[in-house]
Amino acid sequence: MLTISNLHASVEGKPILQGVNLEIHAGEVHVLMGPNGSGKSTLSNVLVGNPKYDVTAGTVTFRGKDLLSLSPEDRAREGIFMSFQQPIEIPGVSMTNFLKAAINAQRAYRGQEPMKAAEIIKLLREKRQAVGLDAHFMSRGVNEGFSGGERKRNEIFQMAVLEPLFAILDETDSGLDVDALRVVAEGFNKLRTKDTAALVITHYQRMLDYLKPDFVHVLFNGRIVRSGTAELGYEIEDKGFDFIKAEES
Amino acid sequence: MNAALQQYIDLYEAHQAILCHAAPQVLNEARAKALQELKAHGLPTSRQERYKYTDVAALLEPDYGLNLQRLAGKQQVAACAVPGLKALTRYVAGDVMLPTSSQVPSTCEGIEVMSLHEAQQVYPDLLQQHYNRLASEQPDALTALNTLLVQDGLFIYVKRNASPALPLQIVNTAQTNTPAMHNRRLLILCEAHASATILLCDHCTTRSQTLTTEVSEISLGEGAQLSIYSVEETNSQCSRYHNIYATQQAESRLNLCDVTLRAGTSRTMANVSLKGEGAQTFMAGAIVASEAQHIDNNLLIAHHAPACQSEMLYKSVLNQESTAAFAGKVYVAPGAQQTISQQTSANLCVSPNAHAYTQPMLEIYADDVKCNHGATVGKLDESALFYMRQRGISEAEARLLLQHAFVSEVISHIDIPALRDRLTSLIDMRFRGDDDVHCAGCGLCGK
Repeated sequence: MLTISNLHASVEGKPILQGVNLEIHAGEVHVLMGPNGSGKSTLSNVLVGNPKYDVTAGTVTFRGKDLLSLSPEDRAREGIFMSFQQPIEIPGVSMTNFLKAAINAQRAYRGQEPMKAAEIIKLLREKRQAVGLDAHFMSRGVNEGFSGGERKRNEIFQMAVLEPLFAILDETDSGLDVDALRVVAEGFNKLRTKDTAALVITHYQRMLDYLKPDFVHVLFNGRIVRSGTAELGYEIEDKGFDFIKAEES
Repeated sequence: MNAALQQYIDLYEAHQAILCHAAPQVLNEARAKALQELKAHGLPTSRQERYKYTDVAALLEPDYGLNLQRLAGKQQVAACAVPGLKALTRYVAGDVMLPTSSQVPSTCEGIEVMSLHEAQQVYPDLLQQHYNRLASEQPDALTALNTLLVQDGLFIYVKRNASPALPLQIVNTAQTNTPAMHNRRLLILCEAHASATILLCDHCTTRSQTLTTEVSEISLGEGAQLSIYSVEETNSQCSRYHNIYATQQAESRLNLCDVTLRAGTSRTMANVSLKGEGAQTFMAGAIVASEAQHIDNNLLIAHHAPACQSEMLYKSVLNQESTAAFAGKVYVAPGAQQTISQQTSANLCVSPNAHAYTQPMLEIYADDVKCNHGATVGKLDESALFYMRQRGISEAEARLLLQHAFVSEVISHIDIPALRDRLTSLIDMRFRGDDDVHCAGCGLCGK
């Protein structure tokens, strides 16, 4: 589904990714771990086309298409979704209007008719209830006045509504209490199918427990230095990143 | 004497007899003093604080004609329809009020709308007492010019305790085929404990240059509540000066909300005087400008009594080479304790060539007050744009949604749902670049 080859990227002229290689197939959940500053968020932002990041070398193909040549909106329409580490507040644009615009933009790209208002309301209600987001959030501005936990739930809610093929969860678990983490992880798990895949960035073992990933990778100094099964995640949880840092230096 | 002004004085002096012949007595009585003032002080220049941002002389330069014959022309009385809005509607063509056959329904008892001409017959004492009283307290060249040349106007009278069930809608339309000057006058009396809503719509159906001077005098009695929503959707050939003078007695509330969707130059100057304890004023503006449009709001709210509250909330979205200016001043007189005031001016310069000038001012002579002000000039939030694009929304659509969201805060204060919905869709159309914005079902423009 997604193939990353020799990806190099920089932020404000500073090289961050220095040759990332990664292959993700449909049906798989990959967890990406790594010490702060290793390039995890850069990788996710590059994949979704954040204009603040510059790709300096390498290729990414998504379902056979050259992902890096697509605009951020077209990447989303192709089925890539990112749950933001810090979801953005958009005062004045209600959640309902925001998602209506997103749903219909994606449908238009796929040659589908716009979804009717009543259907959208029904869909939003259904998905909202699944992640435990109150009705009154829908008429508020996007993330406006949402607590940290509500924002993360809101990301998973949007993911549920947009049903992406490939989801990137950028530290969606950070700042969540145990209960909220469970809701978010369960919400995510419900969306897993044999046709979808995900890249999950996390620091926590608890997330590994909930997600039961197929693969765990460790990113260090802009490169993937270890890949393994969930066991690798538990090893890191146990020993920290120091043993990897020591081996790499 | 400035040449631009001289032409209007010449015009007046040459046609004084015709002009006065058709006009109500009380209007004629005020002209001599206005003329004297204009001759003595001339037109304001940008060196004067309140005229810093708008070049009045340049805008008066074209040779505008006056409608001395009081012709309404072949005016089409077409609805300026706001879907779902039931209103008492009156039409003004240029500066001539069109006759109406529709009666005020019984649910709207207590509100009267008539020309100043009629008011001279029906309420001569009220007219004598209120016409040009507030407007002459602080001399202003544009008010003087209006007073000198005005031939008629509207008198809106909301009687004590009256609470008409429907809003009053005044549809102003400029339909002239030659450059024309319209001088409009509004006199609004809202007596004690009366409550009313007025919607002022401004349209222009030709591409001829028009200059409109408008002077509104508003008096609110004790406990009176008045909302005035003004929607401007003319075109780049229209210049409009609106000078508002308001006075409020105790516990009264005045909402003034301007929505400027399209105009050439539009300058609103407001002087609101809070005279009675506990009076409240809310002034808001939503401005969408593009091309070389110039929107200037110059506001003064004077707190003369204790425990009054006022708020100014102005938001502009500026595209292309447009300009918005906001100069808002809150004056707190000695003894006006427990004053609460808030001034917010927020501007979004979407284009690098757009300009926003913002100047909140406070002048406080009391010590127990809470006065806040904030002003911002910024561009679209790049991170919000990216967030939206990540969900599949195109960049153009995301920009539009953000611009719309920016002014929607002002629209949310409008308490007529049908008008709010209509404005929301008009603003949307405006941002989508529809060249002219029209109300649904409006036959005025033949479109």
